[in-house]
Formats: sequence, C-alpha cells, structure tokens
Amino acid sequence: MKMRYNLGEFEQVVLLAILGLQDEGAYGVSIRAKIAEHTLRDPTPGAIYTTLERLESKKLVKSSVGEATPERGGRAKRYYEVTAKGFAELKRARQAFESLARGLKVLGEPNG
Amino acid sequence: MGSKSISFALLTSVTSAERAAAIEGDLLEEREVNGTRWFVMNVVHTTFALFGLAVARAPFRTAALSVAAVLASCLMCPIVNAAFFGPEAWVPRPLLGFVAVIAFAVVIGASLVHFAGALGVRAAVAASALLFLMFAFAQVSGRLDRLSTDAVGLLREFATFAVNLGLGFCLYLGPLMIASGVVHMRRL
Repeated sequence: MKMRYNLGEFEQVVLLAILGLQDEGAYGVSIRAKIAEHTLRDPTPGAIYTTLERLESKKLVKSSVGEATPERGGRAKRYYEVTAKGFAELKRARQAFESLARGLKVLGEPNG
Repeated sequence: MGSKSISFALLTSVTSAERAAAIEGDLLEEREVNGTRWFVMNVVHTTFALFGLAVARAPFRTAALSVAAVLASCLMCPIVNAAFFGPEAWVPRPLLGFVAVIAFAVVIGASLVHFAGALGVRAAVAASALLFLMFAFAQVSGRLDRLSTDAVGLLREFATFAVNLGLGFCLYLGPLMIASGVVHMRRL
C-alpha cells in the first residue's frame, strides 16, 4: 500500500501562501510577508526555506529561477508554484480538518 | 555582495549554490528593513535549519559516515605511532599527537569529500558536524574526572579545554565544510 504524505500545519500555511501569491510571484520574502500578514506570526526565514525544501522534495511545489535585482546583491529570486499533487494534498488536508471540525459547538459552528 | 561572501559560503555548505544564492538574495532584500544584525542572525539560523534538514533526510548515511570516521581515527593513531617509534609506542606522544591529529583531519576530510561525491554533500557535512560533537563530548568527559580543585588550576583546565575545542573545530569541521562547499560548487 502506498504511503500518503500527511501535510503538517505549517506546510499547509506555506502552500496556501504560495497559492495566494500566484499573481505577484511567490518567493522567500513574499511568502514570509504573506504568512505574517494573515496569521499574525512572524516565521523565521530558516523555517520557510526548510519547509519549501521539504515540499519540493515531495514534489508538492516546484521552483524556477527569476530575475536578479540590485537590492538583492544581484542574486536571482527563486519562485515557487504549487503542483497538481500539492494542490490535491492540500485539498485533502483541508477536507480532513473541516470534517473533524464540523459540528463542534466549541468553534461556534452550528450542529452538522 | 560577491559570490565569495561568508554568508554565501555558509549557505552553500548545506544547499546547492543556486538555492544558496536565492536565499542570500532574500535575506539581503530584507536586510534593508531589518538591519545587519538580523541578516547575520538569519544567515546562521537558516544554515543550521537546512543542516538539520540534511541530517533528518539522511540519518543512516550520517550515522554510518560518522562511525566510519571515528573508527578510522581510533585505528590510525596507534598505527602511526607504531610506524614511527616501533610496536611498543602505542601511547600518543605530544608532538606526534599533534601531527597525527592534522593527518587524521586531512585523511578523514578527504574520505568524507570523496564519499560526498557518491552519497551527497549534505551527508558529509552532517557527518563532520557529528564528528565535532563527539570530539567535544570526549573532551568534556575526559576532563571531568581530573579537574583541579583550586581556582587557577580550574581556569587553566577550562582554557586548555577551550583551545582544544577551537583547535578541533578548525581541524575537523571548518576544513570539511569548506572542502564540501568547494566540491559541491564544482559539481554544479
């Protein structure tokens, strides 16, 4: 039986941030800023890069090299995109979460 | 920021040159807002975070390389002594001990870099760091039972310990990380 990869909470957050940055381009700085804006927590760059590396090794995201700018010391950006597999895993994780939360009065939701 | 910056060298020791460049670029971009101290702290933190990921990805390779390297060290010391001073000289002598430590570092470093070609640079870097931790542990445990009781003696003991630890770092971890980084960059 093929083992499924269970997404961690922070991995889901990073995947959602990448999806939310599809138009502007998702790279290290913008992903970190997006997460900080929406979750009110300030993840370290180290946490972002290790998560991105892990997601990429599982083929849940793919990356490509972008342009270099002077304020980056001439270093090129690395843009990330969620793959079809990543999208499916994210959807599955969200469905599992919603299924567990459904009907819990403690979350202020109606009985389902 | 040139390609030979310290931050780039640190990051390339734990990831590919291309990824290290992108990470350094991101951190440089944020340095404008957060300052140089933030930049330095996060270069170090990111290096350790990616190093941890490398160890987690290849725990068996890391353990195997570390054990092999330590065994090689243990075996080589008496062999080198015996080769120079005859079969009775199995106890390390100060000068020979120093020469031997350098020789071990070179041999172990060369072996690990050679292995890195087949098993991955991350595994070699992870192994060298574990080697350093083992060395530090051996230093601590070796000194605990014969610490002086007076303050000056205690201070001297710790000064010697710190020098040995620094020497160990320079001889083992530093060259290995640089060598691994150089080999890795050449492969790209």
